Amino acid sequence: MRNRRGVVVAWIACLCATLLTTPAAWAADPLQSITASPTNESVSLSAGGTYDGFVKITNTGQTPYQFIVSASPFSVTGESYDQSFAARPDLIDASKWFSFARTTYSANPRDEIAVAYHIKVPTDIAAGGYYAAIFAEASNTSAGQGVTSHKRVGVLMYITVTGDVIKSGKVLGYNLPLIHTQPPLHADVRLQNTGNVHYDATTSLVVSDIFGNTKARLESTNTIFPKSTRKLSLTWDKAPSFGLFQVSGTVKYLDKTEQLPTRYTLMLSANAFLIIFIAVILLAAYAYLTRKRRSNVVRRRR
Amino acid sequence: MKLTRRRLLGLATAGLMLAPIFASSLTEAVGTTVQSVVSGSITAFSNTNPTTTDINVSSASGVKQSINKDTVSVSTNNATGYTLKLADADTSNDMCITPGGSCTGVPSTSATSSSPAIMSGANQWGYHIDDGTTTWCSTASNCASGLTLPSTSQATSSTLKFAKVPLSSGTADTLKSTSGTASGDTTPVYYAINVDPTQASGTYKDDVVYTATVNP
Repeated sequence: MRNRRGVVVAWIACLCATLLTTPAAWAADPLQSITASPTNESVSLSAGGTYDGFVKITNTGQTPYQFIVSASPFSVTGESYDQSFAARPDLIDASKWFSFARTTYSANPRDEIAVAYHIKVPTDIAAGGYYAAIFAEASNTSAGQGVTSHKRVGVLMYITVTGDVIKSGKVLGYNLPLIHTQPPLHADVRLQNTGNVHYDATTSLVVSDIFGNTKARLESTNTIFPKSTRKLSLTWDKAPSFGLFQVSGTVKYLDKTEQLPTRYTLMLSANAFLIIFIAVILLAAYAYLTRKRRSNVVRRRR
Repeated sequence: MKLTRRRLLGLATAGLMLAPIFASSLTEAVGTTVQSVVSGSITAFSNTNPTTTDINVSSASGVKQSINKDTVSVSTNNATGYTLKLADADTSNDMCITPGGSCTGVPSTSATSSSPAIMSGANQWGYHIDDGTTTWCSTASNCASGLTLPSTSQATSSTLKFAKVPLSSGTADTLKSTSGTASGDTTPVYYAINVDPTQASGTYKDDVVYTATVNP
């Protein structure tokens, strides 16, 4: 009898577990989802060299789809580094060096597909950095009326053609506003690349109070592309709306570490400013009235 | 030492001046940093309208506008965030009965993402962004959040601004650029079409591409 009760309890437990876990996990997946990994790849090749690699495309959604792979030029514009996937006349289109054994794949939910690509660098290419993007686009059949959307994920490709590679750059400036009227606390660092190949820069900022107690550490590693200037913004999202802070930091790039000057910033929100303003007015009024009363008393005594 | 009114006043003023210093010292200090290397990934997905955002419209008189919303979401473990872009799938951004690179149908609005505009003219379409950060509104922000969608064959909106979807051969419009990791970060994109009675009936369509890449 005890055994039978145990079997029934175990059976109910299994049923409950199945009912509770399976639909929940399934419902958590989006309807259509495409994932690419890695998000960027660095390849070093000599002129005329070749490379075979792959990117992993995963169907992380609930519905099967076909996806198409392609290569596009990749460049950035402006100090904010707005990404562009259109060919530019002043840049060599490195996407033309890419080829794919297959460009169309079918992916069922949870399928992980290794998309093979081949790079062949032309023989007459000068040393330096060249950039492209590999895209995987989940295709959709147009249905109904209106707008059919396609989702596309990209893998950024950084190709260094070896030879007379020039790696050089400098920190152009560091800006911390004297007053922040609202969080987050933010600081900007501008970095320039004067070479012909990209480099990575790690910017680290330490936010402390006036007594030197560290309140936040902000760090960001970013790529600086050749012949460009990049403005990097580091933010402390959880900064309070009131307080005086000092910010110091370093920038590590091209095997050197540059110390940034220590600067101060006052976090003063509109509300905090209003409270201080009212308090100052009240104090001034109090001081004025007290002084007037005292001078009246002195006058009366005379 | 006697605590006179003047001294009290001096102390209060000094306290006021030193308040930011003490306020900053009250902020919680940071803990130990733990670091590990995890391979990067980026995901673009949708939970609604996986294929087509339907926009039905008709007009017996005057210009009528229909609006519907698409939502695209992005997840990435990339520490420097991601950029989400929008462009047409081909070299024509007309809404056509048979979409394609050289099709002509309902043309897009002439306004661009750098200067989106109220779309009041007949027989055109465009898109609107209203994600709390970028809001194309004539008066307030989040002007599309109060819409009951789909909004079908209504008077043209006087608050929502629209822009054309750029061609695939041009520079795609940036919908969003973030600076940290993201988990299911959604971006609503509103599409609208205007017609008047002169527009030939039919099923008009266009294909657009959302592109998600990490920030370098």
